[in-house]
Amino acid sequence: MAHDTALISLSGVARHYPGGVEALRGVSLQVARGDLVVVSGPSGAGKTTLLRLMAAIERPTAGSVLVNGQNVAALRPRAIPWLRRNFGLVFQDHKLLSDRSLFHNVALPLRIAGFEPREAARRVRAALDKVGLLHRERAMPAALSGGEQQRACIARAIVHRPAIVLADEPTANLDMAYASDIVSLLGAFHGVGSTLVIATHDVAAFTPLGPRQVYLCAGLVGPQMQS
Amino acid sequence: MKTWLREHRLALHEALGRLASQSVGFALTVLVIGIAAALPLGLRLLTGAVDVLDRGPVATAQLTVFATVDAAPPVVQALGERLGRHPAAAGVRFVSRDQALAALHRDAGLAQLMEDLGSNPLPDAWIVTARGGDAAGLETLRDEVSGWAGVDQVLLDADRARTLRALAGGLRQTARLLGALLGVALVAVCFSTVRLQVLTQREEIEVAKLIGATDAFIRRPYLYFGTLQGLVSGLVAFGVVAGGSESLRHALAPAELGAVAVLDALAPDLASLWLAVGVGGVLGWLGAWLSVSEHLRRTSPGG
Repeated sequence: MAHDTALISLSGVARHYPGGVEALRGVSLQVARGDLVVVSGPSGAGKTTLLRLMAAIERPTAGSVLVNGQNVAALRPRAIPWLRRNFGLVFQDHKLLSDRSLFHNVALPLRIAGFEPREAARRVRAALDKVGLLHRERAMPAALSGGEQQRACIARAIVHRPAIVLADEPTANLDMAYASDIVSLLGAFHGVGSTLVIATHDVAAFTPLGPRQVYLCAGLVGPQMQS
Repeated sequence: MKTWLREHRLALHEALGRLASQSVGFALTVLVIGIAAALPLGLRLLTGAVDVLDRGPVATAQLTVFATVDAAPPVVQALGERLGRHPAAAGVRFVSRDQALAALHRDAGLAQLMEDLGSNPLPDAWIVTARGGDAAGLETLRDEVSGWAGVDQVLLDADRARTLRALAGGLRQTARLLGALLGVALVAVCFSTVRLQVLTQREEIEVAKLIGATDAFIRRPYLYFGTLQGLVSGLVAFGVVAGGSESLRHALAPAELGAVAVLDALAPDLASLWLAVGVGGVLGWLGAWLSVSEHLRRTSPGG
């Protein structure tokens, strides 16, 4: 894949943490617009770090991360929130606000982006409908099951129609039926042209979507496979 | 512009929601700040009242020039004209020896003594008021006039004015110092109350930052909260001063201070209200800004 068409481009990226931990060591990776990339590997391989670098949640110790041609490491702190609005983030621990209803949790990205309340409400209900949680819009996160919380997290990630969705272990701790629902949801979102990067242990669950697979091990990229 | 207004409306709404959810704590905080802030505000009014006293007839610096007892009328007239033309004199009032004698008869109950003396022992005199209440200028004038022919004695009464002016200056300094100290205290209190809120909302702040919230977006509701806290504290301070001043005015009314303006100066005016509310609001905003910024600086993911 040519570098100049890549939506996300990592070149020689390293990420070291205090104490000598090397989460990533010279990773290079290109993600084109409309790609579906599944990053797999054992625990501690650097999958989550890779996603955090793409979303500018962390900065690389060495190398460059380009998103839409912008060098994330060189961005001024003020510019980072605007970069992040291009992403929909699905967190492994969901990060739903415990004191807000499901509706308000999903509406948060739209509030941040300054959407008009009526339009925001319409979009929130559409996203909740898509993940099958419209009937629970007033529920608090604690009242939702693990699968429902994961779907709520996906609804929040797609509600503002981001160009890129980064999902960290979206099927972790879910039974097969729920995991299958999540995979279908992400597949549907990819089907309408979004770019998806998914970090997971469970590559098999995503195989039906025909993703490009990237294997990470001890901070290094293994052979890339296209199913 | 519409989006900007909407964001501010939502932030204000959120701040009011937080305020309502901790109304008792909010009320106690603004009460403490308001009562403390009433002190410099009250001192400011008191300084104004002393200033009025200082400018008033009670304290005006004056010079009394006595002619010699045997001064002939032409000499007396020439002296009066000369004093009137002097640049340091704002006003000259002539008190003839006959008027002075009549006043002694009337006010001092010395009629019998005066009659026993046979003739009027009092000299003609002038009461000279300093231009701009300048006591130092009057002292120079006293030294100069003392040497004029036909002048027996010159008395200067500037001590009272000097005392009042020093008192006003001291009060003004104290008000400024207290105001500055309590301003710092208000910022610190707002910093702490907003910090508590930030700590309870840190999960929300973290998520909002991760999904693209700017620092301004995160700060906004807290800034509204801090500003509201400062504004209401200012109102409380004004209320305390207004109540205290009203009772003081009642207490002072029969004391015959000699000037209605002094009592008026003790009443808090619109400027005091704006000062209390405005300064309170700005300091509350500053405390909240420092608090949230400090938290954001320490916790910003990715910068």
